[in-house]
Amino acid sequence: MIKHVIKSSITFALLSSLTIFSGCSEVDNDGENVVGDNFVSAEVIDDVNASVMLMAVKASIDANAVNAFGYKAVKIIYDTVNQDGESVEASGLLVIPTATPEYQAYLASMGKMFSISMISENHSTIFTEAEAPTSVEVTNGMPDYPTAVLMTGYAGFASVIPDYIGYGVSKDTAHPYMLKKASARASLDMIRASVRYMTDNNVMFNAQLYISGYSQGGHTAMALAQEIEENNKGEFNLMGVASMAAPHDLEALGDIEIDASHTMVYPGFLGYLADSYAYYNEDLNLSDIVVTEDAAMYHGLFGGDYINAQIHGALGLTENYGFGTYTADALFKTTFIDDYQNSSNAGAVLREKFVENSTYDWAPQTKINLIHCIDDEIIPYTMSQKAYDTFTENESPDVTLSLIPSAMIPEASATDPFVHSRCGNTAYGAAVTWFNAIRNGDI
Amino acid sequence: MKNQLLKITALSAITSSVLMASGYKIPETSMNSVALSGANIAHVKEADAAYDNPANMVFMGDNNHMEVNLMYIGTSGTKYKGSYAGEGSYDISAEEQTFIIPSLHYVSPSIGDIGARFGLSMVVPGGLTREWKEQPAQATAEEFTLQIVEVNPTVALNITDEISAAIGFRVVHSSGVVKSSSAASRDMEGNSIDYGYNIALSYKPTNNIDIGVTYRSNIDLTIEGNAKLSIGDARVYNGGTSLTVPLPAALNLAAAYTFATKTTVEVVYEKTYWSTYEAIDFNYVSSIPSILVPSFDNPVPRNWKDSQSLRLGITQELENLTLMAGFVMDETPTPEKTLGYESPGSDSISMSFGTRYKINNTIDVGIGALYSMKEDRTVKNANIDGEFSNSNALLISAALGYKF
Repeated sequence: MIKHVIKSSITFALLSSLTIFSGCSEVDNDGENVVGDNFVSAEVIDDVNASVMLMAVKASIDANAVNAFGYKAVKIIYDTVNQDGESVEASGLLVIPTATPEYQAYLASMGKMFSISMISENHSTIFTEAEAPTSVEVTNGMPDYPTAVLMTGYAGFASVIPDYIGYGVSKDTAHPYMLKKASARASLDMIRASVRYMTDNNVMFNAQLYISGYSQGGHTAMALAQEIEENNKGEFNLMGVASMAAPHDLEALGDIEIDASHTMVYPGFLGYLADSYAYYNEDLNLSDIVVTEDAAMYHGLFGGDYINAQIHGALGLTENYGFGTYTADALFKTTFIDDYQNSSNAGAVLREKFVENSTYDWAPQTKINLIHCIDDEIIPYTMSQKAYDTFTENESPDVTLSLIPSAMIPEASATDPFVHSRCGNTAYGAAVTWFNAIRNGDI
Repeated sequence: MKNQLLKITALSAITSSVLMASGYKIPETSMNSVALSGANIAHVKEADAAYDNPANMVFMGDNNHMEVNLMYIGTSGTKYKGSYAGEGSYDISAEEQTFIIPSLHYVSPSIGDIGARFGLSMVVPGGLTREWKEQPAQATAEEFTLQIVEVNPTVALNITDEISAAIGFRVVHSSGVVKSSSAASRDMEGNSIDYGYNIALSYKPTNNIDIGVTYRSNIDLTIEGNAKLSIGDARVYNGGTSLTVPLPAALNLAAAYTFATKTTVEVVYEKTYWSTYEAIDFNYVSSIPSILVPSFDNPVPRNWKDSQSLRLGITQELENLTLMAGFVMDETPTPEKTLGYESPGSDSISMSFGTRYKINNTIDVGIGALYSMKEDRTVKNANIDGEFSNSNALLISAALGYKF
């Protein structure tokens, strides 16, 4: 009897405990913060105080400026995923503004707190490792990266500038030039790792994200915005996207550039496109596309070791350093030019890839500003016009097309002949002014 | 069949939670307890003695006693009218809540020559849920839920013919959900298993006098889990977090007198040691963004004070029927200075009644109800300047007792 009672009691207790505690719900994660867990490491490159920054701002942006922010430049190394799905360690430059005690006291008197919004800035095409953001910024007590001076030192945003896969610590990996998936992912993961760095280092980040980019960077900016809106909406407060001088419609750009009668203004860009698309698409062979027979040599030209003129020279485009002199058949095989124009063979494949990687046909819900110089001779403003028209047709709620006349940009010089290049400062000024207006709640 | 019933009730228990009584402790864990407003310590003689006063188990009939209880709780939507942080003029209501809470009690026959009795209870001894869907309350207490389930094995021994003592081991599973939404939001969930003890002493100097003393130890509910923090849409933290809240110690002093008419009057004085609840402090495994530290990481003082309750229960035994009624005055432990939307406590009075019917020598059934009315409370502290009202609750409990 006693045994029976004890046995039944124990059974009762065990059963009760089991049924109760088996109901314990599993939690997502009870360990380390997984937001930004692709962060690998950080190294402070430079820490420039506000008074030095004020001199830099006065010299390069606004001679009448009376305030500037300190500028802390950090090299971020992070994990991302390349176009082929392979994991890759990449790098980028994070520049954090620091406010002077006087400025913080001023804000406090207004009932406000100094908190930091972020701009994901995506740079234009570079050819050498020396041009990568983390290479440009050096330890010298001075700010070295011009767009970060504008965005951080002058306007007080944190600048998050990926080197891109193929530069910085990922130099040994082929750069996925103008390929949406990898470009957007590298920038997205740079943001994630930067947020983690700021969180871990007590930076007053307010989680507002802006995206900018010029030329290739404008394409990446739009690809990033699309990736965030469509696949990562719950991760960011995306406030505004300024895409500047960007080739949104790659197929249409190909129609213009891959034409035997067309004089190439900047062959290096087109050569880079051919190399990247052939490298990352198994159904495209470089030997079917470009004149150069030595595919390995050709691919090596875009490995970060040669400037544009050297690349042109190696491709036999020597006159005027290759700029604005040669028709497309000096770079592309005539058979390929015919294929592209007729949408056949490799030309049809490339068209398809261009369509896949274009950035104009979706419906952004964030504020968009398409900024473009009207006389851009390398990326025609019709690229931004097409994006604007399509977004509007797709019922995007807030799209602006900001066309900049040549009268508003510096005049051409022997060292800076192209509108596409000279438009940059004006376009960036317009973008940061627009971001500031959003941040202030003015628009 | 029995196993299946246990599973159903146990699983139901962990999905239930409630705000009752003072603080988040629920003293009524059986039908008798509901019907007597918790004045069920000194004179308890059914299977719920296993929880309410296990020392009384030795005075029970020498067989197996089992009881299954099912309790409905409905709480009104607390209203708040006033300002917050010096701004606005709000007139908002918390969500109404209903719950079904089961409990199980078992008392064994005498074991061995020493006449020991073994008891086991599975109850919901506390809980809290408060949901506000309107600002400004939503910013701090969109949902604040604490679910507590306790398994409490006990052993009782006769010390003399008049005196008995018991000791028990408390295994408490708790789970919590904290949600708040404004410009920044927090979504935290976690659970824990913690342990404590309870002791009890019964003294029956005469056939018509029962005296009981029970003590339940404080158990710190060390809830660990996951927190997701966001600023607007931006998720900035998804990682481990922990939070400790006390299930406070409680001392009950009870005395009952049974008249020749088989009328028993019981008075219970209860002291609950809420002063252990000094602050609510979330701890995160990794750093959280600096901008969120003031809202989500800094400790929030609570400084609750020990509270007292006075319970009165009357039982009238008839041939096969038992009638019960009760009354209780509960003091709130929540000081005005730290009162928040998640637990807007106030003093309360409750009234109850119930009946138990003996079907045969092995089975009896019962039903009881308790209605609790909290006083309206005017509060003026650093954030809240207004009045909480309409904090009432209805408990209805049904029991099935089985002796074998």
